[in-house]
Amino acid sequence: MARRAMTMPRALVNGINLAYEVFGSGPPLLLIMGYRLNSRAWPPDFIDALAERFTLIIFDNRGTGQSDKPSSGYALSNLAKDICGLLDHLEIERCHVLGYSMGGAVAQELACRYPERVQKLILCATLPGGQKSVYAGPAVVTVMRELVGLTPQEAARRIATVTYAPSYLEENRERVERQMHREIVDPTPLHAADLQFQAFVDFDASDALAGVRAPTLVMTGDQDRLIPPHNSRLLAELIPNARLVILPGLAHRALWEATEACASLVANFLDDAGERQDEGLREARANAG
Amino acid sequence: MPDKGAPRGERRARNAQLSSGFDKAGRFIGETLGTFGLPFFWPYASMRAVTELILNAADPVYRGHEIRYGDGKPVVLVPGHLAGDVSLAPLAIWLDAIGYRPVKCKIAVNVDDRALDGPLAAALRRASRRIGRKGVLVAFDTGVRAAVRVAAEEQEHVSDVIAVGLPDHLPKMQAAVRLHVIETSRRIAAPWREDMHIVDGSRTLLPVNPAALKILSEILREIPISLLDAG
Repeated sequence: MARRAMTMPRALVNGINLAYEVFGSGPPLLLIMGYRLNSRAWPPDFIDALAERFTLIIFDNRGTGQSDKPSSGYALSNLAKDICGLLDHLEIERCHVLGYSMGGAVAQELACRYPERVQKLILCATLPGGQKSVYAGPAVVTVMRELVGLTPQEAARRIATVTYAPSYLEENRERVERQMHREIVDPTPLHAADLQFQAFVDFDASDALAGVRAPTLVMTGDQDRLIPPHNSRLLAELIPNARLVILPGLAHRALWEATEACASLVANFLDDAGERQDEGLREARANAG
Repeated sequence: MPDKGAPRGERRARNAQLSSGFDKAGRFIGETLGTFGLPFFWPYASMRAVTELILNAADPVYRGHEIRYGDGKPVVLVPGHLAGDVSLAPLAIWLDAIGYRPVKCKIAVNVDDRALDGPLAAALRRASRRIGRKGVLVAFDTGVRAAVRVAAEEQEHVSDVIAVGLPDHLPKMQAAVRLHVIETSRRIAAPWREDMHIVDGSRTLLPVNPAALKILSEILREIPISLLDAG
């Protein structure tokens, strides 16, 4: 298992201290976490599997984990600027980028605003924003937002009911509880959660996505209630040469529910061999056509 | 009738009570006429309000179109003259839907704004401590007076007062708290301060006036989060 230090190093970037970790070996792969969650939330098996083939850069978004939690600057374009600062600090010019949920929106901002920094892009359980996006229903939004007065544990348990598939939750209660305990070590304060939520609602990259040049993998679970799979189809339409994978039976927490399959999907996409396979497949299809 | 046989102190107290009762009644009548105009015009004003409600019923603002999402700050609603929590319920629902945390003051009917101070201060303190941020007071006509008084006393719990319809007399505002004003063009012809916004429509319908709601959302959006710990 990849070693995780209790205290993460911090870099002063874009006016705040951003906590980060780098481990593994191979081409650099930056992971961007979603709403309210910090870098502790990545599934350990997912991290371990990827660290064998890539140099992983994980960090706590502004307002979460061990990073600073200011009361402003949560626009997703600014979160992308934080990341650019972190890459500068680490002297990494270009890397693969994987964004999960709200992190996927930040990854889109990064790919649109700083295309030279993104080698390949993976967007997991996210949306492009704008009028064509389909947002969660009011009942789901209420579950995500009405967290005042709840302990971090209560809030995490409440959110789990809409992020995991009901069947997975039923069969893996202990696993979900263990995951929850990892996630609430450094709980996200209410103001940071509110400002992240607001920034995610404001986010709209739908017009800019046509300019994304990085090869892109869009993946989602077909049971996702929080960010319905329609959004991933839309992303795949808007981003030139994007590849779409819809994972059957998985919900918003697809990476946690089918960790091994997702890690292998990601690794194969990023891997040159995987790309060669894809090219071979495309050629074979073209020849067949 | 004053009882001539009663001791002088008792008589003085009774007179004071009577005079205070007359004061209250006078004030009430004055506020009612100031808010709703002369009774002669009430049928016309009612018809105008109903027409305005019908014309605005389909306004996209009610569905949150072109409204920017809020940051969850506590917004304490202070009712105007003869209004109460029930009349502000639609506004509370709308504010909640656009991302704020509206709080009512537990006031059935506002007949005298001086009676609002206690429940308003309590509601503000409760909401502000629960959410960990300074609150914003959104007050209507005579409720603005109570909001300004409470803001002066509770500067550590309030950052801004948004006055929707101004009362006749306004207490002096404390420098630490910002005041924003939304008023109708019928009442005021031109803005007299930078943060004053003029809208068309009936004054009594300001809590549901789409133009006023849009401006309200813009003002709320511009108010930065003030964490309690940060002072």
